[in-house]
Amino acid sequence: MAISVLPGCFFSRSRTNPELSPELASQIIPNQSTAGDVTRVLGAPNEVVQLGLRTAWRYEHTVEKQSAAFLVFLGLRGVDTQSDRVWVFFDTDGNVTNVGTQFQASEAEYDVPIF
Amino acid sequence: MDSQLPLVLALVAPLLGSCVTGDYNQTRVFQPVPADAVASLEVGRAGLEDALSGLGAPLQVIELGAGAALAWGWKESADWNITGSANIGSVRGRIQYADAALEFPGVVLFFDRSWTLVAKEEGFLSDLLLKPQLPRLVEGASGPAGDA
Repeated sequence: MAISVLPGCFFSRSRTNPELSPELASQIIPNQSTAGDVTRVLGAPNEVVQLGLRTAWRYEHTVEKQSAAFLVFLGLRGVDTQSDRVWVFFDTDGNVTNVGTQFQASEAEYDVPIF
Repeated sequence: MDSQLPLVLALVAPLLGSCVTGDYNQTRVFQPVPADAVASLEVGRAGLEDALSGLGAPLQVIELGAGAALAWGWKESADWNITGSANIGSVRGRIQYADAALEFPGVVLFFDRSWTLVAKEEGFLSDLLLKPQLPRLVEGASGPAGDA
């Protein structure tokens, strides 16, 4: 009974999809790489968007860090979700035309809010 | 003071079987794009490469007629969730208050078929992306095609 009202806390971390890195993404070169090259480097995409006869492929690795403190009748919870994301744009022949990247998954933080 | 005691007890007694709990949640999902990078994208001149190098990889890419819309979004919010319950006589009551923000602010860039920026809008993604989508373009189609 007494234990049930004691303060507590927890931390959790979850990840979605394999990690991406600037080194991997830099191997995809616009006007040189093909769809085959992209799958060899990054594997199967998480999403394929049809743009007329062109396509865009999304790769995403997400990290969510969650922390919480329970103070009897008050719970404080912080959730931080950040991702590494790569979009590869192809022309009608399956050649890479553009690559967009962002790498922020490592910036996810445990942060119990104190207001 | 003694004369007020029964009154105080009468007011407090129904609340003895009550309970109030609160949750304070702080949420951060992704990060805002640089405002100066958005401002530097000139409608009619900027292209896909300018957008990707300035804003990074978008959250969403959507086919829109012959062109496309690219959306960047993020969320940073703090909200309360308070629940109170009480037993008054044989009646049990429960009340809940929540102020969670559901909106996802962001930027949407609209491109034409040749990847020239034709419009940029800032606001909540739920509003910006709910606009009616144009019919899908089938490139190279010159009319109904029969089976060969």
